[in-house]
Amino acid sequence: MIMSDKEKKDKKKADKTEETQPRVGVYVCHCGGNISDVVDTSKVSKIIGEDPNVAVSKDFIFMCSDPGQKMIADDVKANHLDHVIVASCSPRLHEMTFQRVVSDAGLNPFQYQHVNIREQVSWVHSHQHEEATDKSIRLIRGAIASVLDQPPLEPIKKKMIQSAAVIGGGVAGMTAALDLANRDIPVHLIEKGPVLGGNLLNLDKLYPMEIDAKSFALNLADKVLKNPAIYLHLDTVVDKTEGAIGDFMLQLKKTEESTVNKENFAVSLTEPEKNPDYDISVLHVGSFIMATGHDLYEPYEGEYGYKKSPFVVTLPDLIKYLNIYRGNTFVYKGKEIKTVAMIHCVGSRQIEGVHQPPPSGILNTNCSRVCCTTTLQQANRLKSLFPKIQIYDLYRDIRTYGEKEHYYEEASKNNVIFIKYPDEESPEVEINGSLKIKTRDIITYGLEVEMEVDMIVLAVGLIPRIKPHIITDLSLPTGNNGFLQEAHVKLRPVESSVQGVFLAGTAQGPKDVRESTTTASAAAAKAGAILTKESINLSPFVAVVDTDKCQGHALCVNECEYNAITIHDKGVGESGVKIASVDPSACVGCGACVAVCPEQAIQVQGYDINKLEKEISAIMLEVKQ
Amino acid sequence: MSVLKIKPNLIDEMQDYGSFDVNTCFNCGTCTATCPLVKEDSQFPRMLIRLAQLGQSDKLIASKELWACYYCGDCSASCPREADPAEFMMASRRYAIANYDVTGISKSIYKNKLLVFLYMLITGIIITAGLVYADTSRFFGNTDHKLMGGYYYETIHYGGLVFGSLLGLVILLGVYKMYRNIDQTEPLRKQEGLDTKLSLSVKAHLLWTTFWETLINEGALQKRFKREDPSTQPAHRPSRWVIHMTIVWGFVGLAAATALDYLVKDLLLNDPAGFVPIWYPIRLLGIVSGLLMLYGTSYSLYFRWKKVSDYYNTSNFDDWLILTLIWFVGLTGFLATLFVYLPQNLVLGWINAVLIIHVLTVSWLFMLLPFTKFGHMMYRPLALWIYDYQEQKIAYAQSHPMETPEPSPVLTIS
Ligand code: SF4
Ligand code: SF4
Ligand code: SF4
Repeated sequence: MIMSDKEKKDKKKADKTEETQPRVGVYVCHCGGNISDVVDTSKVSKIIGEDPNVAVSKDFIFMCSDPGQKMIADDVKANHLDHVIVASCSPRLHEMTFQRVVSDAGLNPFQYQHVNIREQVSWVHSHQHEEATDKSIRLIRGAIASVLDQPPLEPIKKKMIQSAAVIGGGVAGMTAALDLANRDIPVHLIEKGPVLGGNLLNLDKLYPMEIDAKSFALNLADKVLKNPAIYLHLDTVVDKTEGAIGDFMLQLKKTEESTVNKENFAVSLTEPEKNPDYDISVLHVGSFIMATGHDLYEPYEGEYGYKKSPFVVTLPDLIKYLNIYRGNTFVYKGKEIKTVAMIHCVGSRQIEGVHQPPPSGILNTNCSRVCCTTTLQQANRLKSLFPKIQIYDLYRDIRTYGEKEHYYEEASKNNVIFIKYPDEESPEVEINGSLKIKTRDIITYGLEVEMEVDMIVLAVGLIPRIKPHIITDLSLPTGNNGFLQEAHVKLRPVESSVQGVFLAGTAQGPKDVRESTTTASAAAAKAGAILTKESINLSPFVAVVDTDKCQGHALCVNECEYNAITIHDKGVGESGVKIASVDPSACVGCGACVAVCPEQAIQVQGYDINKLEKEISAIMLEVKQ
Repeated sequence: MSVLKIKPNLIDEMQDYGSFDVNTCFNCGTCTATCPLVKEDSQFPRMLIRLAQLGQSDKLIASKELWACYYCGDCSASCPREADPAEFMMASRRYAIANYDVTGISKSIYKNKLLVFLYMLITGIIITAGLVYADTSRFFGNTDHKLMGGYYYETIHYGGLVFGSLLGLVILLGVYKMYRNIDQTEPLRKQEGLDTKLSLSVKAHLLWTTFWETLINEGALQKRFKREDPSTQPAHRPSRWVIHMTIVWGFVGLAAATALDYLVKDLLLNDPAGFVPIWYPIRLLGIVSGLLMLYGTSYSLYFRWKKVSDYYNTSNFDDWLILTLIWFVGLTGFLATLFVYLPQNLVLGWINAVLIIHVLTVSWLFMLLPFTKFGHMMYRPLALWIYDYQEQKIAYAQSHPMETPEPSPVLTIS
């Protein structure tokens, strides 16, 4: 409980001296007919008004409108209301609106309760007017019973460590770090390899301006190095993570010396000289950004002849080769390549029973989004380097979305022959001396076609990285596909549901460079918004332990997905006695612990069992006509 | 079904036969949806473009749809990729004609348009020399069969026969090649064992009826063209069908007049160069046919020149060549006839020129027949006939289940 004892006493005194009868205000919204066409709103407000605890009961056409809000504020003051209930749409829409209204009018915002009689009543019972009216009354009664039992809560305040960490030094990580640093927030950029740049270093030209990927990476890295607010940790991984928003502890570990050829890349990127904290092994940061990127799908031996023939290569291999190849004819491993087949969707859009999953065991069912564009970009590149080359493009769908369509346009003008193969029937590759591909052409209703080629290029997809420690340590949620998952796909697209953790780039799913930097900047903005405050307000709806009842069974500890509960000694003089305690900044208030405690010693504030029981009993009461 | 080898360069190869850009075609099928001729079981132009993209030239030129299209241009107008499918269809027809030509002349003409003039020049010199210098009396005795202008009738007659037979041979070989190609590459449309199931007399009957239907409906009346050509013209302009009909009839009429003339005057009267009055029916037929041909070609040339509508927008060199030749054949033929009835001293100097041009243009026209777009005259009806015959056989087989009837169970009625 957040109130100090003195405050409690004061309140009790005030209650006794001034009023014993609570004064609840109830407002029933018509939602312009959305509700009132089904629910008899005036009847509801009349019957509710008969409740002795209710001081004001009104119905109105739009409660959320300015006049509606003003009505509540005025009533709170004029009628000395101590609790307010609005029965209207979903709390997702307007709970915060009305909480703000009552708080502006001088009440504790948590003594407001929202009742949903639109989505849960009028819209779902549109043909049962009487029953809908009855249900509305019951729900509001339940809310009254519940709100009366609601102690005034205060948001939990936590001190913020005003520095951040960004994990991953690829394009997303560098962008996010720079954005944060430019707001004067100290950032630790942690990269497991010896150089910055990540997957960017394996690309060719970047859409849409066709900038060279490597110079783009160099440019960013240069800015990172020059920025005094960024502390670079190369060859470093996060070994252990603890804590919650405001104070995350990251324990760093040096990787074994990497084998990546540094000469191939700018030396400047590996220079640690401006890194004052280079030896730091434990960081404390208020928030951090996951920019851990993706892995590339590695075809299994024999998949389209991979590793069985040296002329079956992956798309990234081809790019790497072309990046350094100089020559008028395309010679690869001593053979002149005159015809190339490029196969799309290798290791992406996998179908159960048709494809073999990657080593993680999770079938990669999603589209990797970037391989179509890259494949066609490389097809055009081959055509412009070696105009005589013949290219077959075996695809399932061409997903050069948006403006990237021009790669497709160019490829078709370049006489790349497109063949759409069936989803369930991957092309067959035969190797004997030459490479022969057999497949069905969907466009001609399945004519079986065959082509002989000198090289096969596999457009491999993007798959999630094998989970780094940090994901398991903090139970960062991942989606079905294994990529990190955002809290809400539209409303909170770059936040993890673990508070204070933000997502950037392909760690969250396949993205092109532009999308990666977009999410990186968004994540940095979100993180910056909390990191610039000295303390943060956390929701008070968290679990609390009744220290008298707790016997230290620790069942709750295992149940908590968010590692918010720890067991420790009860205190001085009671050695040996263990009890649980909750880190309110880590707790999300899910209530999983409540269900397992045999002593009923742990409750979620604002949702304790007594209160819920009262609410249910009130709902079950018959409505007298 | 056998596995097809993709041949990637067909479309490049076909660029010689028309200017289109079906590399950009992404097989959306809009053209198929727009084409007024598409029926349930056909998917052109899209499917044919696809076959071309995959390099399946045999399948492409064996298709019936190739010859069904009238180049109305609707598909090209609707294609979202501006691939010009109508022009592709036209080019495919030229490509088919070039492929059925066994001599290779056609291919080289399309590859290098200048060759056609070389070809015309050489044959022109031979023909003119023959006309002017050949004194056939050396071979045939002095028959006195001299035509107006003093050319020997025999030169034209026997020269024509020799040329004609050579061309006839080329045409026959081409036609046979087409038949074989259709027979081998379109097995899908056939029913297994159909040919052995049907009796010889049924097949002969169907062959005969479909032949006449094709000849009359496709050749003589151009019924399908009239019915199916979707292009519309403003009322003040003759329709494409009228123009095409007048050319066809003019052509056929002139050919018929020539043949009849030969029959009557040469074989019956034994006076091939003799004078006939203007009302002599064969002569009249010739005059009327010549006028018809002039009418049709003049309009066609004019419309193409002015590009009066989408349908006249794209003209390849062989369009111009063939139309111009026909126009000259009509004009000179008409003039030559006229000259017979004009006072000779008036026309004397002109006769030679007109006659030479006439003979030259007629020869060129026939000599180009198997090698240019003009070849559609044989290939189109033939393809339609083959397919029609095939379909009739299937229809016949379906309506006459012909296995030996099962012995019916004996019914006893009590
Ligand atoms: S982007 Fe293209 S190649 Fe890549 S998975 Fe999606 S459809 Fe397949
Ligand atoms: S409309 Fe154009 S793009 Fe579509 S199938 Fe026809 S030719 Fe191809
Ligand atoms: S030109 Fe006309 S008839 Fe020919 S394929 Fe196109 S739409 Fe059909």
